[in-house]
Amino acid sequence: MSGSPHVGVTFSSASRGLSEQTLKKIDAAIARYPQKQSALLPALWLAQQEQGFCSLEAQTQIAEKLGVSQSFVAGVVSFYTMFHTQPVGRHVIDVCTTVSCWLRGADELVRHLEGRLGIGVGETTKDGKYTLRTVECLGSCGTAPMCQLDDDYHENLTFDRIDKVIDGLD
Amino acid sequence: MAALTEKILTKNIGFADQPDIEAAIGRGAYSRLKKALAMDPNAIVEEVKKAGLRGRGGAGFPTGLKWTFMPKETPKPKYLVVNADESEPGTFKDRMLMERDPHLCLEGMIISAFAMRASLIFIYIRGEFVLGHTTLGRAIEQARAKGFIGSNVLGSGFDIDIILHRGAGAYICGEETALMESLEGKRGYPRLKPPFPANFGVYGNPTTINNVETLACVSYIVERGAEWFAGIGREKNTGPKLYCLSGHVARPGVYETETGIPFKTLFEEHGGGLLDKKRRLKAVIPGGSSAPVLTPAECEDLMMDFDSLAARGSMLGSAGVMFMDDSVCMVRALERVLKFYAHESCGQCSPCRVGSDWIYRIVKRIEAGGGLPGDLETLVSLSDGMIGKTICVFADAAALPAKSFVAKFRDEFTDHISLKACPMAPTPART
Amino acid sequence: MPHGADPGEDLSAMPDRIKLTIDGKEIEVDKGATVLQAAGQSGIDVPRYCYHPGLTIAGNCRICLVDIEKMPKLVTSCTTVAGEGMVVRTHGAKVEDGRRAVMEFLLANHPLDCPICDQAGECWLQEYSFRHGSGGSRFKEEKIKGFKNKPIGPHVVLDTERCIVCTRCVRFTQEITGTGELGVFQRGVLSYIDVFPGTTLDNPYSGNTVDICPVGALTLEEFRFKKRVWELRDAPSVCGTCARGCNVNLGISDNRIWRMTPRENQQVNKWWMCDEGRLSYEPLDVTPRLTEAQSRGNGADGASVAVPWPDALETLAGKLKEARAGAVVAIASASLTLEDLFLVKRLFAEAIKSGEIIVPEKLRGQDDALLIRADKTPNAAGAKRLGLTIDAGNQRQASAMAAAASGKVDVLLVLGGDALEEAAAAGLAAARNNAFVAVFSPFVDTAVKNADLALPSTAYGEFDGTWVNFQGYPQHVKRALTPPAVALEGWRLAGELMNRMGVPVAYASAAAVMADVMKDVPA
Repeated sequence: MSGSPHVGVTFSSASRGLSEQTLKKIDAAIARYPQKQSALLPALWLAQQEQGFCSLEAQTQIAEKLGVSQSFVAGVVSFYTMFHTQPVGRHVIDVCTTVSCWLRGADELVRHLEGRLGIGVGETTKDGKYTLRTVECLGSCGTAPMCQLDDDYHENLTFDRIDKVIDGLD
Repeated sequence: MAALTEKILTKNIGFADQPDIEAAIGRGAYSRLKKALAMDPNAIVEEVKKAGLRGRGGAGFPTGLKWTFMPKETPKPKYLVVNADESEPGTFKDRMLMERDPHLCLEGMIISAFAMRASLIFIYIRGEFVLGHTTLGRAIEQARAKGFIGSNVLGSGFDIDIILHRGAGAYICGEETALMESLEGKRGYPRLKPPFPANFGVYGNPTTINNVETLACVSYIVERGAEWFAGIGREKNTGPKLYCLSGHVARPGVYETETGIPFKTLFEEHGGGLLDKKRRLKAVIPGGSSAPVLTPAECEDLMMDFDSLAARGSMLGSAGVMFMDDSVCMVRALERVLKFYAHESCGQCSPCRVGSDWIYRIVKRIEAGGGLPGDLETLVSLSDGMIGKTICVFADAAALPAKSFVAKFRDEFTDHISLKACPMAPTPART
Repeated sequence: MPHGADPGEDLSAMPDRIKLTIDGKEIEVDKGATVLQAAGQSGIDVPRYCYHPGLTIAGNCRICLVDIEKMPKLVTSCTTVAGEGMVVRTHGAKVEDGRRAVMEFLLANHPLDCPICDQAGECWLQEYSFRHGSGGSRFKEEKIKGFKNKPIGPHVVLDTERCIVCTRCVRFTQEITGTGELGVFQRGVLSYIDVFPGTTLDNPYSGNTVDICPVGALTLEEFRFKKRVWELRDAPSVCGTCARGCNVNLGISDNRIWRMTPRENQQVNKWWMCDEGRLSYEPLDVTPRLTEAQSRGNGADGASVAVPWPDALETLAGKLKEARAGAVVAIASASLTLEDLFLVKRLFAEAIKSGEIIVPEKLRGQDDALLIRADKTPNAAGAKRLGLTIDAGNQRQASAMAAAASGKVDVLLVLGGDALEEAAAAGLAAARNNAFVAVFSPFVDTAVKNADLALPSTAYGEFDGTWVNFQGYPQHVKRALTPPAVALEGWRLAGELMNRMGVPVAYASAAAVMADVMKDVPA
């Protein structure tokens, strides 16, 4: 939150809807729960897995499957920080900047990554490879500073260590 | 009352093969489940009550008592929900348990479900814990294959199933009714209470929500008995406890000690004191960032248990202990604390939706040199306007730390305002 | 749409009652009532934004805080169930402090653009600021920006900067219409109300979201910037768009209806009305009025000439007297009032002594589960109660028109501006070749253009009378506008004709007619 805050979520379209395979997985998720609406978060995870974000088309398909309105789904998508509403880089780097990580140099780590990737927080590199974000506490305070890179936690980070991790990415 | 002389909950976390069920069974996993299934479920509840186990998620509510709120005779299915949404800044103990000893966690859950006669367990794990999710998922499959989960567990006639549910990034979902909403596929808005979860929980069915560490304790209460558990720690603050040390401490990490260890022992013996020995301790947040901050003087003879901390105007909370040395600007520290709450407020109640953002922005402005006379009075009065006026206690969790920082480090705030700048050097990074 | 109107509420089951004290007053209420409801029942007005009696309880705005003895904190009265022996204070320093705090939070990011806000005058932020606010703002930060003037549907315009996220509108679309167009997006201070991208708030009841919006966040496209609300006076009335007869308020200024809003009636329309009814006043000002009685000239061009009312009545009475037995037909709209139809019936029974009254059927679409009825007339049940039958499939009307065209009908009376559908009204041209056609209508419409004699009637809002809705509730329709001097109510026209045909009647008002209706018609 910097500058003058503005409400509004940017929701993006995908070129197409979810694949049959993903829709089948969503059906399987629905079957696991006593009530089908519980499968909303799992369904959105599956959608994001396929498309990289929760597209408007995917939200509409999921709304139909679960018997809730599109606005309801969009309200849920935009409530949770891990769901992307527009395309992001192939790799998302989430740096924790909450108290313990901040005490251990998270801000310096962010500045280093901004310089190294040539982008600001919240931005994606031109080649679409990296998105850099700052996030709130990831529950890794004893191993600060740290970041979540896609699914993995990288802890006790130094500039050198994060550089090596990034160098190792495809 | 005694100190903890051995590791209990963390006994096996050093073994790399512990997430595998065969290795875990070799170290005693599920032997407690076998014992429990031969017991009367009510007797387990009684043991947990006698043990004095208090919830490890933050509120410290007596676990056995909470279990008795579940209706005995009901045609509705009963649920146990495991709160694995560990998100309180400064807290990272449940993640460790789930990643390193998932079967200990599962065993405690199954025993507890049996004690409450619940038929289904939901584990709500925060979305960021991908490793914990994968590890628990695999452990559940192994336990199912072994007959610890499913119908007629180990021939006892007890049926139990587990659904592992992944969150998606929202601190508020650690609040038990917001968690239930999220589990039902909604925005994580805390519910109006009453009705309470024990009567009207997930899908309107009787539900009990317990923290991961709390349930892990249950296995050992069954194994060693309530008296053993109650003999560890201090009066009304019993059993082994996981403390999370972070910030400017020499050896950050999770430490298992008796509940109510002296602060000094925790900090100096376990944590190794400050990271930079040339510095002095300036402030301690003793129970996750929602806990009001303490000065070193207040920590001098402090016992780290629920009641001692409450008596000192703070709380043990989730036992996330954060240390700050004298290089820290307390205005900037509060800004960081409040940024978290501004970002995580669900936005349902007006005082919290607006208040948590407003107080954050005031502190941010003060730190940036834009402080105005009257800002501190406004900050405190807005905090008072938030406290106790919302559906859940999130607003209090944002406002109480704010008030405590201003009360205990007021000079730093007034200096910022009169100098129109932060008088301190940027907090240096020390890794 | 899950929630239909429920006319048959069970009043026989008396629930348990409990006693509590609010502001020193002992109050007895049904068990289960909330403190806010209990206070309301005894005339104590507790402020509220998110609470609406027709919606589920959200408890999010926090303005309805009250102080209850033995409770450590203030509690929201909308969520707290009244308990036996409870002692509640809705005033006092503690309560006022709490409310002032909530008001301050609600107004912090609010644009305070009251001078250009359409809600001004009926805004609950204004109202409660006045009652509970502090007067000044301590908010020194930059206000959060949002969407302004965003049309989110054909009738509703959104301004998120004014929104207090009380979620009344969201709950309305979820719970009442079941359409769910609106949602809350984002979270925390950035939470905002919107529709799903690419969709609109377009259901038959969308305008209700504007009514229940307590602030200026949702405004009605058709009413925005037309009038300041304090220039309007609310005249209670009944909507004439369908057989439901939703209770409404007509917002009136300069002898003109500027808007229609629903008026609560639990038996008929609860708190709601449909968009079609809400906008049904719009044509009234744009359709040319029939400003004089007109008689078609005998010249080749058939141009109409104005005739004084007495002459027009004499002409028509004469035609009715001359008509062959059984050769008079009236097509009388079921939008006429019970009083109108009662005297039309008497005219036929006592003065014409033969002939036929046809009440056209006007069906469109289907009944829905909420309010809208397929029957687009407000008084078909009233017509039936008078013993008139509704012309199923408009078969009799078709026969009568054919009979008129072929010379079997001498006088054809068309009573009511909406008596004939457009095609049937065009068919009057053929009927007029052999029959004398008189049309009674407020407007210069197709029927009037094809009439031998055109008689100006009052329009919606201009008459007193009674409509009986499809549930059988007689509803009084009160005159709200001054009609043009030349326009007559239906009962007056029928009475004047009876007088001229030798059957004297002397009714001074619709109420006087109603008194006779009551004698004649079983309730």
